Amino acid sequence: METEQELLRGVQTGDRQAMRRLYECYKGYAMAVALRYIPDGNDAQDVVQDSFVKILTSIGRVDYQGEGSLRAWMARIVANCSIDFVRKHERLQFTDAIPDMASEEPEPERIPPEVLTRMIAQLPTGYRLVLNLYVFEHCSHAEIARRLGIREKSSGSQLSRAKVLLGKMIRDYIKRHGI
Amino acid sequence: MRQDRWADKLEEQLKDYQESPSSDLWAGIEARLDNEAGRGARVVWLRRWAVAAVLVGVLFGGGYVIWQQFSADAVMPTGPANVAAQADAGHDDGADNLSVDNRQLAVVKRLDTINEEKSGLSVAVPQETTQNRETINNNRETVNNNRETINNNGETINNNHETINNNREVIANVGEPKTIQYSLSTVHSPSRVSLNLYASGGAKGVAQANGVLMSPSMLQNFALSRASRADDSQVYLAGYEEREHHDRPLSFGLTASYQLVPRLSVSTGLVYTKLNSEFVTVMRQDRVTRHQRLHYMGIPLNLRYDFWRWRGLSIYGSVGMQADWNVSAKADTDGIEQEQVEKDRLQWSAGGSLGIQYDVLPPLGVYVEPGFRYYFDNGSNVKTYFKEHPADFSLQLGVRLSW
Repeated sequence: METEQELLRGVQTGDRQAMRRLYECYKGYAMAVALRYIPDGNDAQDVVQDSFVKILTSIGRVDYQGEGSLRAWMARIVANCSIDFVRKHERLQFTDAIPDMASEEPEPERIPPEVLTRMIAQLPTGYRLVLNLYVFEHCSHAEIARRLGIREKSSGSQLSRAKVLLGKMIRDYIKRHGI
Repeated sequence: MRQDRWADKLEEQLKDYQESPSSDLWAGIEARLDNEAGRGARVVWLRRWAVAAVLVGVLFGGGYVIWQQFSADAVMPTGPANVAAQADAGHDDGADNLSVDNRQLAVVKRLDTINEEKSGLSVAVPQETTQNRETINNNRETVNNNRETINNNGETINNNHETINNNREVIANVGEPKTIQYSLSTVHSPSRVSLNLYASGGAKGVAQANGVLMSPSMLQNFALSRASRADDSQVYLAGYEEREHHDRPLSFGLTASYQLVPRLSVSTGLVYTKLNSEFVTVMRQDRVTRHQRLHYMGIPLNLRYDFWRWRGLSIYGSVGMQADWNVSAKADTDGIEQEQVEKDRLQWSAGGSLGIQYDVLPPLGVYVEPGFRYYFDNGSNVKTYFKEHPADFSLQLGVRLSW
């Protein structure tokens, strides 16, 4: 079994077969990341394709930093490409409205991953971007505000709103399916 | 450690989730990789051609201006011997013309002579009279008699004697009525227009690091209420940090100056400025590095006052303002180019400088201008050197071409 580092070394030498193996190995994960941002499957595929072109043309500059770092780096690229796609094709709407307070915390662990992914993708654009950046990209509100061109306070309120809405979706799903 | 438990659970639930694309994307990716390789090579060649074209343009343009300057010097009489020779030649083969034109003679004044006059000095001009021709030599000054023309900014003075009233210079002469005319078009005049090409900037910059604040929800999770803290101080996350480094701006400018009055000139033109910044987000073991490159085109408007001149050396001061437009914004995260990067807003700045110039050739000077500049807050979210370091010292090096 080829390790991540060996695969990276092969790709960095320009070996097309190694590139193909890298794609086969991570295409599923890349698609899962893209689908959290982009509800439409075809659009998500286009973004995954763009992302792999960027990954393979920039991989020469990557310094290996341990097992899992290559996957994390690739996920960031897919996330960035997805954000660019959303900003280009969707009208960003951010609201500073005070969210309704949720009575209890969401329970995402009770929801199948594919359903949870679709739920996140269905969130309004602003909520979806902020939630993804905060939860999966580990960005601070200051960083989110800078990347999306919004105020730091807005980022916090968008996240609270997203959390409430996602919690409601999760509770409805649990109730409907009797999980 | 994450800031929220629900966020941890959500991330954990989707950590290993994979969903295969419905169609094979590899063929498309491979074709795009081939295209990218070809396009990269073409871009490199285009850049090289563009740089070569600009260099050739600057060399030929500069060379032409210098050549024009030297050509003008070469045809101009520069001393008594030349003047006498010219006068003699005029006498030998232009006797008829002299009679028809009533012996036109020109008074030509060099820059240094005029400067002396403008300082309030009166210059007594030696005279030579040969029949109907009169030659006056004084530091490259020629007087042709009967109709005498002195060129000075289009000012015409009629007088029975050779008098240049504008400069308080009186040329004593007895003879027929003469016309004295100053004109920029036919004589060597003081430098009124100059072209400045300069660079400023450096590699060193400013750096700073900020902690990442713990969110209110996390404070609740960890029971860090206000009561548990000594004061209302902020709580930072351990292991999380945001570092930023801004290189000093690097600028190249091409400006033109015009002399409004002696010693005072105004200049404007185009200035290109590049700003490089690096932002590093540290999340325990993970580091995300983002490079930001902003390209500005600016229009400066400066006033310059010459304090002191001696031979080819001059010391001057200048003040002015500049408006910079962010024409291009690029960024990459961990080496990957971002497609949409927010541009900075219009950036205004004001400043002043003190400069010293040395003329290595009559039309060509080199100068150094240490200065101070203040960048006004333009209210945008884009983090730049201008915002982190609004008051800044700068050093400008350049060449100045005058004619």
